[in-house]
Amino acid sequence: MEPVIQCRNLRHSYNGKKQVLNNLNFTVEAGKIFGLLGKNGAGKSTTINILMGFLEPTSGDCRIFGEPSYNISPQTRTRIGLLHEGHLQYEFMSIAQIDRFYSGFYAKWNRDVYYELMEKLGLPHNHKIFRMSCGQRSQVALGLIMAQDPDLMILDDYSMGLDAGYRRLFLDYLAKFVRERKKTALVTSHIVQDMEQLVDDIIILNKGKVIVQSSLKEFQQGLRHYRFTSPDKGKGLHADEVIANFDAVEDQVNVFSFHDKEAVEARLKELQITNSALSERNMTLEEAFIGLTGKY
Amino acid sequence: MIKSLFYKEWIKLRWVLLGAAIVTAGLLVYILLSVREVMEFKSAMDAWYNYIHIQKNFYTVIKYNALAWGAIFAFTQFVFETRQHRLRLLFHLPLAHNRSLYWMMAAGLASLAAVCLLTMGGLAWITLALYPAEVFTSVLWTIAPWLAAGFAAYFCMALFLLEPSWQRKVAFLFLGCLVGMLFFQGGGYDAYKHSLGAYLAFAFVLGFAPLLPAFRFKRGSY
Repeated sequence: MEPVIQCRNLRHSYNGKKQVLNNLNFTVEAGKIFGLLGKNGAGKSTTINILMGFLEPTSGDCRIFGEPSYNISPQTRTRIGLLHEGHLQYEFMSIAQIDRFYSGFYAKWNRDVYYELMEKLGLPHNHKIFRMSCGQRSQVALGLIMAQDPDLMILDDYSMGLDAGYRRLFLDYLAKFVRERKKTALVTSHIVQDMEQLVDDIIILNKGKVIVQSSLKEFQQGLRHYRFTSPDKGKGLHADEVIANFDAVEDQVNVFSFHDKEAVEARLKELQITNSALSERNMTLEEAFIGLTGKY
Repeated sequence: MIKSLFYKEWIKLRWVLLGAAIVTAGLLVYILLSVREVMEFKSAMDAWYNYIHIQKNFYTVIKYNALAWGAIFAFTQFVFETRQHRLRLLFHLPLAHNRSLYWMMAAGLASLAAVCLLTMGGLAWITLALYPAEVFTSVLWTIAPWLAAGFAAYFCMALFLLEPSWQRKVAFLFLGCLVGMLFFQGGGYDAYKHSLGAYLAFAFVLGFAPLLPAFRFKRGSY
């Protein structure tokens, strides 16, 4: 089966200057929720802009349902639901007006799904969107995408500006909708711990490249966190094929690796690093993400 | 889909359109009262002398009306579409991008056309009631470039708002002012009688200009 999203050898630079994406490759299969993770400046926004069709890559190929992402046909656009950063919508419209507007474009428009979410807000249907809080606007944006009934949903930083309650509400509805209707979703968020309960697969970007693409489970089982004490703060330690990343706080050194304890110990010995015994520690997704990509 | 696009534009434009109708009607009433004042308190000859010999148009007060409403209609429509990159919403609709923009502009231009028709209709009523029919023909020739300026102003304002780069925005603003001035160079009646076609063609060609920054936005090259 053809992947829903396929990006090959994607490169992009703004005005021919710094290369933001550097040979980016990934695929998104149908029926799963993908989390696109990356620190600020990793190339996440550029990738999302290319996927949403608002940026033509300098070179390479990014296809959605087999069509170039920057030139998707109107028919295929009906199969793609976009949630833009900041939950952008036509704020001059009311709850009822925006439903009436969008329903004219989509044959499968499901008004009930939209109004089910709107009822949660407890607002009259003539309430204007610009008078809503950020959390309420996020519900409108999500309700509209769900009513569109797309096959692929791309949600850019859905958590932006949301408090814990609205974030949870958003995630609960999104997860239920995607799982029950077997949709594909690609989400980004600055709140990595949310992804732990939401996504099936993750793609981690760092410096314009994909450094991890795997299922969430495989990633969490594969990446390990070791800690040891070293009076010289692990001087001489560097990332290589065994040590994925490391950091030191005072004399406590954290090493992140996809290898087992014996392999890491052997590598530390080779590097002649004085250390106490290695202890293995459990990690949340957020800790694993920061461990792999670094704090800065 | 087109109906939905018009519905969105109607929500944005309806109160502005009402405002335009009230202001235009108010100006027409003012013109009527002014001409009647001259005719009743002075004489019909004074009115005729002012118009034909001094070339003092009795409808000058409406000169910049279409220009102002052209700019206001475009502003009302496009300021909501361009704030925080909202053009993305328009360009994700399942319609060809140029079609969605053209239908949007069609709604604004239809509103402006309504103002122009009200202006022409009102002036026709006033003129035919008070002057010989030939004067009405002259009024039409005289106001045509003023009304065309409204369309040029609409396109220039759309171009200004759709342009994502501030440097180009400033250049387009300057260009828009120059374009606007072109339509108001002639002083007396019938001033543009022999060149009107060229001015109308120019206003029509300007209609393609807003597509350029919009498509640059779509490609992300700004």
